[in-house]
Amino acid sequence: MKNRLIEFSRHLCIIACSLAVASTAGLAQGVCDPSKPTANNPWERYQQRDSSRCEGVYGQQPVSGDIIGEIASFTLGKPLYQLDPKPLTLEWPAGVEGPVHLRAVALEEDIFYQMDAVPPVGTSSFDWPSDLLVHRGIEPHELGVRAWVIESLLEHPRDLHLPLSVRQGALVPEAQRHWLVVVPGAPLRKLEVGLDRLSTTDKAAGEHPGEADVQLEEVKSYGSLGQSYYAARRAVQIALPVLAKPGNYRLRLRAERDSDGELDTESFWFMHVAP
Amino acid sequence: MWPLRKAPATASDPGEVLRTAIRERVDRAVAGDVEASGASADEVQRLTQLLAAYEQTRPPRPRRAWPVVALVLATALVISALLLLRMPTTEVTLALDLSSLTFRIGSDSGQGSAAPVELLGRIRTDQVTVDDVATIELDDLPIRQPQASHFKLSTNGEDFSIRPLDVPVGTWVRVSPPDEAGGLTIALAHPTEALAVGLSFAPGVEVLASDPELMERFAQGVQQAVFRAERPAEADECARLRLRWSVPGTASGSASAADGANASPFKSTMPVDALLFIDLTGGSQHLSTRFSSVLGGRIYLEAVGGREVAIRRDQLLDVGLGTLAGYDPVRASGDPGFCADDAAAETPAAPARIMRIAVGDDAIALQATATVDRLSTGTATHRQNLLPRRLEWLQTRPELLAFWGASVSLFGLAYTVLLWWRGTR
Repeated sequence: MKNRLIEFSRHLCIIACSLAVASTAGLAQGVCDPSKPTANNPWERYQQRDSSRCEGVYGQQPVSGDIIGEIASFTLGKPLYQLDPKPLTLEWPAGVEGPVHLRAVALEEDIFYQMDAVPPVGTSSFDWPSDLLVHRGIEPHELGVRAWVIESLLEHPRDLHLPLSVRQGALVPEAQRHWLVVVPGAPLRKLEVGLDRLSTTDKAAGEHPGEADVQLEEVKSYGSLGQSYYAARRAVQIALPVLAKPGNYRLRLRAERDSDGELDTESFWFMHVAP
Repeated sequence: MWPLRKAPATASDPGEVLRTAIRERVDRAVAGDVEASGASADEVQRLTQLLAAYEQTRPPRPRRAWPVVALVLATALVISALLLLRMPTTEVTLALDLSSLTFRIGSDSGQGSAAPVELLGRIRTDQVTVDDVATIELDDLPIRQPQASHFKLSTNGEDFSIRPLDVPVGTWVRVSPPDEAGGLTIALAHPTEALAVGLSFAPGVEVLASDPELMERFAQGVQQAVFRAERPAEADECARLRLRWSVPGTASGSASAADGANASPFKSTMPVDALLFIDLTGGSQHLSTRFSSVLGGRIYLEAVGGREVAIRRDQLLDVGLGTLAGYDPVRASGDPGFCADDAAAETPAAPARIMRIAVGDDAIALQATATVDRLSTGTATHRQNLLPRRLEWLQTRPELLAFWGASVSLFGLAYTVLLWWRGTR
């Protein structure tokens, strides 16, 4: 009789646990990137890891043939960590409104790895277990990571990137410069970068007195990064100039395709806070 | 009735009477009736000989015909059912030439928050018309309340590019073949999300714009222009955007045969959850006036060994992907357009995938794969169901036939062995 009772309780527990896992998976679907094809290996495949994080390796995707390609990383200082099981800490400025989106990718073209997370609103750091990074052997220079919020800039909702630092325990990166990593979609013969600051001034008089007037103030005009050739799908690290004023900035990217000279431009918005 | 079980013997069966008599005498001998045993032994021997003689001379038991009849009837019933019943869903490959094509972008995962889908690659052109525009951005800076909603941009021979176009899941896309001037038009509509198209200009390109304010801004040097269509707040309407561009050196002839996929501006392998091959007569408010946009082609039924079904010109084809529910037959501009309200609802994973769209002078060639639960041609009164029959499906499953064949053979063998074994005992 006692054995039967234990068996029944065990079955009940299994059913309850299955239901709980299924419901958690349903909640987490919004965090995962649905465009990622499923990989074969069940342990390391891109999937829900906890309530706010999806991580793993996905199946090969057709590479986009467009010119500038993907902006894969934006960090304050370079990521610094060792390949050991100690978790990494991602930190961004406190007081950001709305949910913060985190994305990490492998910069090596043969590693199809991605991590997506949406930490609870109001937090300014995220503890990231490093087991998959260690398993895949992704070194700091092979990792692209960025954080953004969706904010209305120049009358339209846009991705505003946050200064993000990646550290592990006592290993803290130098945090003076913003680092941007671009992965070109096609071979490029030229890659240029320009910078503007979004400045806000109060309208003293005129049509709408008291309203804020938002305009772009050029910080740095287009300047070449110096190379004469950039291979497709090969990460290009760009160190941004040290910024004096805090605020929201627009980074302008301009690229010229190597094969036919076709030009492409892209805007990348980020926030800079005073150290 | 199980054939191996012995039938109950009737009392008048002489054989059974003899067997009972033999059993009685044997039982008595076993029970120790010593006095009777000598006489019984002789008697048992005599009775046994008599039984053997009887068994040899007994006429064979009449065979019962009804199990065979029942078996034949059951087999006929099963085969008829397999012949009449059709597969509930089937995988098809479509290779069609069309006069126009309408589809709705779906999601591989079926989630509402799916990432945008790439619709068009980068297109080089020297002339673009964008209709139904709500706002414009030039190098990220918005132009305040444009006066017009239709814009035409062109250059003096120098090319500029339409940036790769990503559209949100749930966007209706309608593709028309090039007009007489060689312009290709696509119309986009979405019930909830904004739509945008971006243009990229090389420095120094002189841009001629239909709008004087826009032309003035372009003269100051613009590298990127974004035209957006918003969903009107006051009406239950969709965000709509129509894009027309001139195709430099449009190849003559049909797109159906061996057009290079690279020449097509459309991205390959797009997930779609609606695919419509019907059109309406312009200005008509009656759905009964719909006509087919099919110019010809073939459907391959993958579940039955890729059986080919030819579709002739103007044949109404329904692949069970999408309905006319979202059809808006008469818009303000007089053109028909699609925009289903259910596009925003959470939908299952897209059941179809467009593999290739090629646009020729007079036809749009479509290659697509889909899993459909409806596949028919003709009108409601003369509809022909093209879903494969279950029997046909079974016929194209050699492994299934081999399995059942082997099972029946083995059963027959085992039954024979069993009969032989019982007989020897």
